[in-house]
Parts: sequence; C-alpha cells; structure tokens
Amino acid sequence: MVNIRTLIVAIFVLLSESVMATEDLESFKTAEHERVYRELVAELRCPRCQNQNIADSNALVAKDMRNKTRKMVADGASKQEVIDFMVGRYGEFAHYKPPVKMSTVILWLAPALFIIYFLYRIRRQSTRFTTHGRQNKRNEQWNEQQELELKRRIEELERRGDTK
Amino acid sequence: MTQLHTPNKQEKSLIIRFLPVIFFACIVVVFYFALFADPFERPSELEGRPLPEFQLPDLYTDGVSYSRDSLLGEPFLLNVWGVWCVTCRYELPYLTQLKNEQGVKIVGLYYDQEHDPEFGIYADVPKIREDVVNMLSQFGNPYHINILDLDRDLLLDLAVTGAPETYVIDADGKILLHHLGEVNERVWNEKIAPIWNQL
Amino acid sequence: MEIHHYIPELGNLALTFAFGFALALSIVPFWGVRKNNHPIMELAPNLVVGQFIMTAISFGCLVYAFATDDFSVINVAQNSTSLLPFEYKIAASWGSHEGSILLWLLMQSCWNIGFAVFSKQLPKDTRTLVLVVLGWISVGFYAYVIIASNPFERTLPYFPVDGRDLNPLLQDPGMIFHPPMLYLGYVGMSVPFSFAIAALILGRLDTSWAKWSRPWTLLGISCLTMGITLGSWWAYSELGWGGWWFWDPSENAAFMPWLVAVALFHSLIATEKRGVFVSWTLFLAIAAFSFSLLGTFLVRSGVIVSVHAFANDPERGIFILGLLAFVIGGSLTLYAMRITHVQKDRTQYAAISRETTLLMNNMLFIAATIVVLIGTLFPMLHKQAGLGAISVGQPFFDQVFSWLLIPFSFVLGVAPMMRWKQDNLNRLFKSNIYVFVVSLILGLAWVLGQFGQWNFTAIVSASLGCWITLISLRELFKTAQKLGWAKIPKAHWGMIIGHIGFAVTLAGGGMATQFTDERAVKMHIGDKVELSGYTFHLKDIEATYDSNYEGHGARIEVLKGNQPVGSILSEKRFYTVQKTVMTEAGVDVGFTRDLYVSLGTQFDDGSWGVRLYVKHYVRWLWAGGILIAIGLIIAIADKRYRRKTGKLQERAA
Repeated sequence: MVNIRTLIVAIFVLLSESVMATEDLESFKTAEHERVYRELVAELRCPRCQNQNIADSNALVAKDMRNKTRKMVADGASKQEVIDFMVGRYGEFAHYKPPVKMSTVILWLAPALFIIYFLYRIRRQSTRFTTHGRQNKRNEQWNEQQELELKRRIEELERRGDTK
Repeated sequence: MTQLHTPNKQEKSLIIRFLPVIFFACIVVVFYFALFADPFERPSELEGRPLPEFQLPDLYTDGVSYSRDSLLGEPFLLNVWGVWCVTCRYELPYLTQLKNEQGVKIVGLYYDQEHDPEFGIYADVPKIREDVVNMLSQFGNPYHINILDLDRDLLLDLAVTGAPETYVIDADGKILLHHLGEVNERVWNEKIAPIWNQL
Repeated sequence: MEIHHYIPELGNLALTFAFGFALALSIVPFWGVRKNNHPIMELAPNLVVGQFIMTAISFGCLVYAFATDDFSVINVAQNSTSLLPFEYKIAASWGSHEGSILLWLLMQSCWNIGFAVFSKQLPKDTRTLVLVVLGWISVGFYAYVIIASNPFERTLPYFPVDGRDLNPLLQDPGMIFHPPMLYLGYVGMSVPFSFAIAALILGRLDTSWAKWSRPWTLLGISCLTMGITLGSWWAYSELGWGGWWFWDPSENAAFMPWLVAVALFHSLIATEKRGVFVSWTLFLAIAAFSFSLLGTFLVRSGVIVSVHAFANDPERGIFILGLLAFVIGGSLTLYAMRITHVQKDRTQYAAISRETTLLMNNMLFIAATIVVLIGTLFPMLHKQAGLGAISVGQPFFDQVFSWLLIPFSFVLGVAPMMRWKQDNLNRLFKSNIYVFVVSLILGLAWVLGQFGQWNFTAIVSASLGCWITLISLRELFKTAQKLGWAKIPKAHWGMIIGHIGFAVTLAGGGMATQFTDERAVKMHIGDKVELSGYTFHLKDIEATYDSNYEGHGARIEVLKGNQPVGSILSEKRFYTVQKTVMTEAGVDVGFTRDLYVSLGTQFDDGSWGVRLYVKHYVRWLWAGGILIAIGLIIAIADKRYRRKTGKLQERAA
C-alpha cells in the first residue's frame, strides 16, 4: 500500500513538475500589492535613461529601483511613501508627475484658464443672440421646417460658389 | 461712456491680436538658451545632506567592516566604480595622480552589477577581488580603502545612477558635491578643486 | 571612376536645382501677383513641377547610394551596412537626420505639385499666392538641408569598407511606412497654412478660402492620423514591453499638430457653412503648421530629452530655430496686422446650437494642445528658471486628459444631430436620454461581464464609446430614411466613420490601460504557465538569424482550456555590427486581446526569463485610428469637392 501511494505521489509530482518548476520573478502577496507596484514602476523615471520609466528600462539602477519598490510595497508601504523615498534620493525628476506647488501649478492652471476664458466668450456671443429681441422672437419658432430651409439655402450657396 | 470705452476696447483687441506673437517670441528666446544647455545635467538631491548611515564590509578582507562614523574625521572623495566600468579605466590614473601629488584621500565604493539574490544570482566575491587587483595594478590604485556594497543599498541611498560617480564629503560627513561621470583634469579644476581646497 | 560613382554628386546637383526652382517660385510669381501679370503668375505651377522632379531625382540618388552600399557617403556609412536586409537599406535613407529632412522636402514637393495639379478652378491670384507661400516654406528647408544637413556629404578620400548599420530599433516594418506617412501629414498642414497666409495677404477674408482649403486639410489630417497610428503600433511591437503611447516629446511633437488640425477642420465646417469664426479658423490654420514645425524643432535640436531624438547639434538647432522664428513669427505678425479686416461676425447663434458645439470641440482640442505643449516644455522651462529638474509624463497627462475626454466625448455624441443657429435643450434631452442610459448599461455590462471588476476608468470609456457609436449610427439611419442610402453625402459617411473610429480608440484605450495581465516567469523548455485563462507552453528555443543578427527565439504554444489558440515566436536578437541586443516581442493578435511574449535573459540553470502579457482590446486603438483616417478620406470624395473637377473637365472638353 505504502509503495503504491508513494508511486502515485511520485507520478503526480512528475506530471505536475512542469507547472511547479516555473518560478515567478515578481511575486506579490496580494492583487492590491501588484496593482500598486505596477502603477509605481510606470510612474517612476529611470534616472540614467533618456526618457523611460523604471518598468521599461534595462538599466541596473532601474532594476534596483524596481526591487526596492517591490520590497517596500511588500512591507506595506503606501504608493506615496515609495514615491517620497525615490524623490528623496533622485529628486523630483524621478516621478513623472510633479507635485502641485507654486512653480508647477501652471501645468493645471493654463488649460483651465483657457477653458474659462473660452466659455466666457461663447456665453457672451450667445447672450447677444438671445437679447436681440427680433431675432429672439423668430427663433422661438425655429423648427424643422426652418432648419430644412436653412440647409437648402446653404446648399444653394455652395452650388453658386462652385460656378463662380 | 461709449466714447471712453471704444479706444479701450481697441487697445485690448490689439493686445489680444499680438498675444500669440509675444508668447511665441518668449518661447523662441527660451529655446535659444536651451540649445546651449545640457538637457541631461541636473542638480543632485544629495548635495548638502549628510552621508547616509551604513554598515558594509571591506572589499578585500572578510570580517572587516566600515560604517559612516569610521570614515569621518577628515575630508575625502567617495568614488563609485567597478571593473566592468569602461570610463573608470580612464579615471583611475588621474585619481591615482591626485592621491600621490595632492594627498587626496579617496574611498572606493565598489559597484557590483551581478549580485541579485532574488533571481538566485550570487556575486563571486573571490573572482571580484582577483579582477579588482588586476585592474588596479594595471591602471593605478588611488584608494585609501574600498567598500563592497553587494546589495546596492548604500548606492541607492546615494542616488547613484551608474559608474563612475564621485562625492566630495567634508570632515563632518556632509556631502558637498555629487559628480556624475568621469573625474579628469578639467572636472577637477573647474568643479571639484574649488570646493576641495576650501576644506 | 565609372558614372555611377557620381550618383551622390548628381543628387547634390539636383538638390541645388530644386532649391533654385523653389527660390524662383517664391519670388517671381509673387511679383506677378503684385503686378497682376497673368503670364508671370502662370509660371508658378511650372516651377513647382521643376522643384518636384529635381527633389525626386535627388531623393532617388540617396536611395541609390543606400541600395548600392556607397560607404563613401558619410550618411550611408553611419546608417547602413552591407549586411542590412535590402528593404531596410531603402528605409535607412530616411533613418538619419539628413535623410529624413530630404524625405520632408520630397513630401513637401509632393504636396506642392498635388496642389498645383488640383487647384486649377481657383482664382488665379489665390492659386498662385498659395503656391508662392509653399515656395517660401520650401526655400527654408532646402537651405537647411544644403547648408547644415547635407545627406550627400562624402567621407572621401578615405572611406570605410563597411557601414555602422542602421539602429536596430529602426529595423522594423514600421520604419518603412511610419516616417513617410507622418511627414506627409506634418507637411500637409502647410497647404491650409498657405491658404490662410494667401487670404491674409490678398485681404480676401471671406469664407471662400475655407471651402477651398478643406479637402487639403482633410487629406493632411488623414496622413497624420495614419502616421501617428503606425508610430504607436511600431512602438508596441518594437520596444519589447508593449507600450503604445508614452507621452514622449517625440510623440507629443506629432500629437500637437494633429490636435490643432482636427480643431481646424471642425472649425472650417462652421466657417464654410455659416460664415462664422473666420478669424479663429485662420488662426488655427496658421497654428496647425506652426506646431508641425515646432515638433520638428523639438525632436531635432536636442533641447528636450526624448527617447528618439536625432543627434543633437546646437548649430543645426539654431538654423531650425531661425526658420521657426521666421515662418511662425512672420505669419503670426501678419495675422495680427491683417485680421482686423475680417468682417465683423454678424451671423448669430444661440448657446444651444451646432455652432456652439463646434466651438466646444475647438475649445477642448486647443485645451488639450495647451496641456501637451506645457507638459512637454515645462520641465525645460522649470530647469532654465533655476527651479530644479522635474519630469512631466504619463501620470500627469493621463489625469488631465481623462478630465478633458469625458466632456469631449459627451459633446461629440450630441454634436452631429444638433441644428445650426439654435436648438432646443428639451428636444435634445428627450431624444438622447434613452441612448445615454442604454450606453451606460452597455458599458457597465461590458466591463463587469467580461472582467468582473468595478473599474471606473474602463466603465466610463466603454460607456462613452457606446454613446458615440449609438448616436452616430442612429444619425446615419435617420439620414438614410430621409435621403435614401445611396444619397447620403460622402462627407456624412466620413463623419460617421471618423466619429465611430474615435469611439473605438476611446473604448480600446480605456480597456487596454486598465486590463493588462502580466507575469514574469522563469521557464525551462516544456514548462507551462497560466495567465488569465491562457496556458503558455514553452515548446522550444530555436536559433534565429538573418544577415545582420543572430539570436534565440522562444517558440510558445498558447492554449485556452485544451484548445490551441496560437503559436508565438519571441526573439532575443544580437545585432553583430552595432553589438546591441534587441528584444523582438512575439504577438498573437486577436480581436479582443493580444497575447504578447517578450523573451528575457537566460539563467545559469538553462532556464529563460519570459514576460507574458494578455493585453485586452489593444488592437482597438489602432483600428480606431485607421477608421478615422478612412473617414477623412471618404469625406474628401464628397460631391461638393468632386463637382468642381467635373466642371473642369467639361471646360477642358
């Protein structure tokens, strides 16, 4: 009996060996750890490379930074703690998203100001439309019929433009 | 009211019309200066900070180890290097000259690329020692002592990106300069000597 | 010396002649326009033909030098080798800085001659002046290539026996198609630009120029879209880890003109049909080409750290900067001085109208351009100002773009069904609320059903993708009901296809960024590894080789359950001339997922490091890009533009 059981175990081990022998080069305790790690290696910049994050770089320093990141995440460090650790050594250069401060706030402010200004212009333009009394009255009855009429006129204009 | 407003409005539209031109002109000026700047050069975070704490073995002798405190007392250069580093071969003779002619104390921090226990790769320390002796006898030995940082923890704390890199450290253990790349006569005279000579 | 030894000199000579033609084009017909002298104006198209022929000959000579391994030419010696496979020898012609500028000029002369041939129906002065402005731009680039970046420079009297090989990263089918397409797009923006400049000079600031320049703008954007799509696909297959967009300055350099150009042609629609936004559209036409030039400067001057910048040389940088300052500065000044002549916009429209949605489109596109521009330049400005080195990359752009994309996609859905002049919010709400709810449900069902995860980004992008697609299809069916399928205008088809293309890219991009499964393992031959339902079986490690590399290839069979799905060959190549190791990833392409395998190093125990990925919906990114490009091409075929050529033939007959 014992022999047979050993045999079965041996066969089982042999069969499953190919699956068991593969060894993960990056192992994570939880899916959350893996997620944080993947985010971090994508956001941290390799200090030795032209323009690559540490996930994509083969440079040794990038590999060491990846290992450190993995260890820190496994030890329960938060995403921000790892970023602070790297930035504390390699400078703000090491993180692809600069911190929001006086000297960097324009990155977010410039597009926002542009949008506000543009919306203000659109608003002013359309207010002119609605405050125009005569126009306004007509446009209240703007309907399918008139839309078609306008389209027809546009087409006509185009055609005339061609013959010119 | 209207008369007061009209020129004002025109002025405003004049500024708005020329705004793109002004903005573009500023960009061109910035580009002009950027053309002559090295985009890779950047200040090191380490400068002005104390040398990090560490406890690491001697490169040659088992059982001998160094810590931050054991290095302090007089100013020194901390030089990161490795036998695999090609630039180091050009740098070693000059560093040796500095040591012999000016009595500069240079501490070597050996950078090994192979060691990676997580991947089951362990550095062959006797082999490293043999290679180191060969290389230093060929190109000169500027080192007062040599420290081995197999796990590259101190290297990471020092924000090393590769080899060679050199730090100027004062008697109290404060990092005054972090230089990336080769130390040669030009770098010494322009960058390191002005700081070193004041120590 | 036999005759073929002089081919590079012939190339040089042809280049000089082309420069001469461009110089003549930029001066003589201009004088003809000023004097209203028709015979002199007639010279312009002929000069363009001369320029095109000479540039083509010159480019042909460069290709010949590469094809025949003429290592006495520095450019060939540095970027090719006798062992390079033939197709890459040809592609190496544009692999270097010098060669790519010549390619740029070839593309420029293609646009010039294309315009000269298909513009006969335009008023003579407009047509001539557009050609003259194209000539001005060409002159600058010819001068640049001849003075500062001559691709025919010789190494004589001593020349190497063999060349240094083309950068292995560039040895990919992408290299053959991506740069010509991208440059065609970059340079294509010079046509609407020239139209705008001509309109400003002539003071003909009505809406006719909008109508004339629209097909050219569409064609240019179509090329640019294809160029960017090909570039992204190339990065994916060549970098070895399956990234398709990294917000690298070189990518941003192509993205900015694309954003402005798309804003431009939407604005052109409003200008052409309703006579609104004339000055804004003119500004966009100038800006689109300006961003093309700016991108070229960024990539070639070395002011910015990028993964694939050309060799950095301040002298060349100064030359392009001068060109930049002259072309952009000059045109913006001209714009500022002449724009007051535009008739005051009297056409009115309400806050809820097609006009406003087109403005919203423009606003969001230009805001996106500002984000990319500032994000690209800011690290340099920050450092120049002495504030220290910072990096602006993926996490920043991803964050800001997600804020912009949500309102954008929402408006994009409603815009095509909006009425000109004024629409009714109530009507819009009533007819769309169901579609919106259905899209939300579809997006939720899609993400939760397939991945079983509550992932906000993925759900939003999937829902918005459905939203745009559903509304576009409904719009198509409505139009078909009204006009009949055969009578739907081509421009309408183009819009529907283009918008659906955007929806496909949006949904694919959202899914691909959120759902990529990844595993790095150590594998022996015979090992099997599981990843998200697929079994990767390492069958064998084969030797792979070609004339200029040797390497190993991992043959991996993929099974789903017991069903074989595909066989992947993932390579690690050693390029013998450049002595560089390259990872040539193996991909099994699928409609909803790519299986991506990249081979690492071999360990002491004989096993191999292998990185496996399952990338969901990544193909959709490029499928969407291709759809957008096709939509744009279909729109060009619209009757409105064709009718003109028809008339032309009548007149000729």
